[in-house]
Amino acid sequence: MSRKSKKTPPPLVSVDDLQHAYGHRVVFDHVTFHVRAGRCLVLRGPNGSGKTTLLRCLVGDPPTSGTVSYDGRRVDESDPRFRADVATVLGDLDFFPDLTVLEHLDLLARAHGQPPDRAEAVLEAVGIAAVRDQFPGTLSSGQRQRLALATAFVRPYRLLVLDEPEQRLDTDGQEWLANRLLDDKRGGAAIVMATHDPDLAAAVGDDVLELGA
Amino acid sequence: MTTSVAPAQPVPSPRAMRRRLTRVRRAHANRTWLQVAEDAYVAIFSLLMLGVVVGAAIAQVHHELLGCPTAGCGVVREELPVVAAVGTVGVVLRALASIGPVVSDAAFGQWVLATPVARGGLLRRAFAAAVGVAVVTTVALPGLAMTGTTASAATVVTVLVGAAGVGLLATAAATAAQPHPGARRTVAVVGDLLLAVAVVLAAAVALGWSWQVSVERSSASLVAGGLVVLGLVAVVLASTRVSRLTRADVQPGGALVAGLSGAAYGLDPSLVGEVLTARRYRLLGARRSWRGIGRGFGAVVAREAMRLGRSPRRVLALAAAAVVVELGAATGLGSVTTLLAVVVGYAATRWTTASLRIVWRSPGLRRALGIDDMALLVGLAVPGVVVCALWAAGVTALLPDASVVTGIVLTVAIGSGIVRSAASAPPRFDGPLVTSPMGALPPGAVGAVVRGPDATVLAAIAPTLGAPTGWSLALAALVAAWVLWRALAAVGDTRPYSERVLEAAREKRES
Repeated sequence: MSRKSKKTPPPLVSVDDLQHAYGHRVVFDHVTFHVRAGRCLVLRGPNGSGKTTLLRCLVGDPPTSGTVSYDGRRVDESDPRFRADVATVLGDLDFFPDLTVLEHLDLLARAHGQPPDRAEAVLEAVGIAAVRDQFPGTLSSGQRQRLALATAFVRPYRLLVLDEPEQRLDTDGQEWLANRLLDDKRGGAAIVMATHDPDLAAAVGDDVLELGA
Repeated sequence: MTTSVAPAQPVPSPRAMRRRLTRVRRAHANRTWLQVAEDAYVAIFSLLMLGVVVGAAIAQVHHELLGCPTAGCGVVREELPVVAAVGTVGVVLRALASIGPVVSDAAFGQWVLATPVARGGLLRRAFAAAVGVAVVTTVALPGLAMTGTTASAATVVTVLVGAAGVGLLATAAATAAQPHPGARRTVAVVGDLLLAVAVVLAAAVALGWSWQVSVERSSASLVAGGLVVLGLVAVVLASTRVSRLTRADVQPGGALVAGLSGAAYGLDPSLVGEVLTARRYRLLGARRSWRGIGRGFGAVVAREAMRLGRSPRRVLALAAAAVVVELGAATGLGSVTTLLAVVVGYAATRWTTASLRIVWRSPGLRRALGIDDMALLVGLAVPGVVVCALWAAGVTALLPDASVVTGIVLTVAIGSGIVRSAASAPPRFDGPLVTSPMGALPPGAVGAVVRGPDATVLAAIAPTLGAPTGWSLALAALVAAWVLWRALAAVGDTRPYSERVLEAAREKRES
């Protein structure tokens, strides 16, 4: 009897010998890893070890050297397919001062070709439906973080890049986030996440990359 | 989420996205038509007033230039357009390379550009705006300079058409270079070189050199037309590349424009410089640190001197300022040259007191440094005043009728101005606002614009009016002393307004 060979799907994200420096200060170098669909890579390391910088390189910031590939092609942030496939929550979200919370998400949903009622459902899911008609300037930091997470969940994605998503979330929010990420992973999404929360890393992460070690 | 990201309905077009955004924003409009008309009236009135003032000043200079009989005036009149053209293209290239030219603010970048909507369509308006501004600038400034020449209308039109073509080419080149850091630096360097050439040409003109270039009208028209056609083709080609720009290419410029707009809106000219400086060093990222020298007061002076020494490009601005003064002297401004010198010198040396400004507005920093306020003020101001003195000495040596006293007055006047602008109290937004035709402003907001130039002009008024040497020196010294006194008073009470009101009420109760 012949054994059927299990074909491992090719990695969705491939990083080869990546280096980034600010001026003469090298933040990280010789970083190589691969992330497959349905897997979560957790980035860990002390402050200043380059976690955020590495995440930014994954979504289009040019590294000093090395290559980042998505789905077999070099990352190109201007490619509409890349933008359709990759969702990011990198903690630097700005807002239109004159659009309400719901209007922000509605705009995003429509821009991704999603039905507009999806925005309401996601607001409900992330727990900020009560502030749907408020302007972003009036939100608390925790509410802003939930809105930032909502930007990822209001549209489909194949790769989710997160930078300390647990920040400013209460315990219920953190539990919700972990469950949501697990669901999406089971659905085939790949996740790359920087986090200081050991519980979140243990619950969702499959592989760990230590920076600054 | 699943492995399939096929959208449930078509991704909207850029036009549909923009329309949606506009419709949603309009739904939040909370101003009546009367209020909008009032705002429009204030804006138009302000622009008209500014236009009248600037127009009158330009007309006056124009009149002086045309009526001036000296040979120097004639040379300046005829050669200024060349200097203006070269300098303008240099400035435009520099600005385009620094800002974008295609820019997007952070919110638009994160919420709209990050979606699969066709990026080229979303950014094309920003590109068109950059083309428009560049063309208008490259046409307007040389055009203005040409009004003082004896060139015929046909010649002026030909030159302006050519200038428009150059503006188109500059924008196309900067757009093509935008995604590539090396190419952007090249565009910026070309802009700097053109500026340097303009300064050299201006110096030559100031020294009375002129160059006669005669070109057949038909050839000139051909060249001008060719530049426009080439420029249009280049712009069309560049517009097709706009869709390839990434958010990292366009958002930093948008943040810079937003910061500069905010600083201008807050009537705080120093903040404009701070925004540009902060961006420059953020892009630089890191640099080898230089160890300090000395202790206490000496260490502050030494560190400030090192900081100034790390900006060699500013020497170009100082040289350009000196050339402007020399040009003014060549056109026979007479005693008004002193006034021109202090104003131009103030603009060129204002950057030397940036540290003083930061420390003066930060009680925490002053506390941390642990040095007496007067010593800190002097320590941070000394290197800047030395730069003023060197510049003033150079300018004085170039001016035909200037003396050592002129140099001293120039130094004290400019030094007083830059210290006053850096060490004055900022407008306080935490207290009652003052109603004005421009809306609600914090007390001192409008004054912040003139605080600095006022001391400079006041200190230089005596020699401008031909007063005796003693009076000139005495007035300059008096202004300097007043500036120091006001600077120390500015760091008085920096507590929030509400705290001061409560404290005053408590004292009144207790007394």
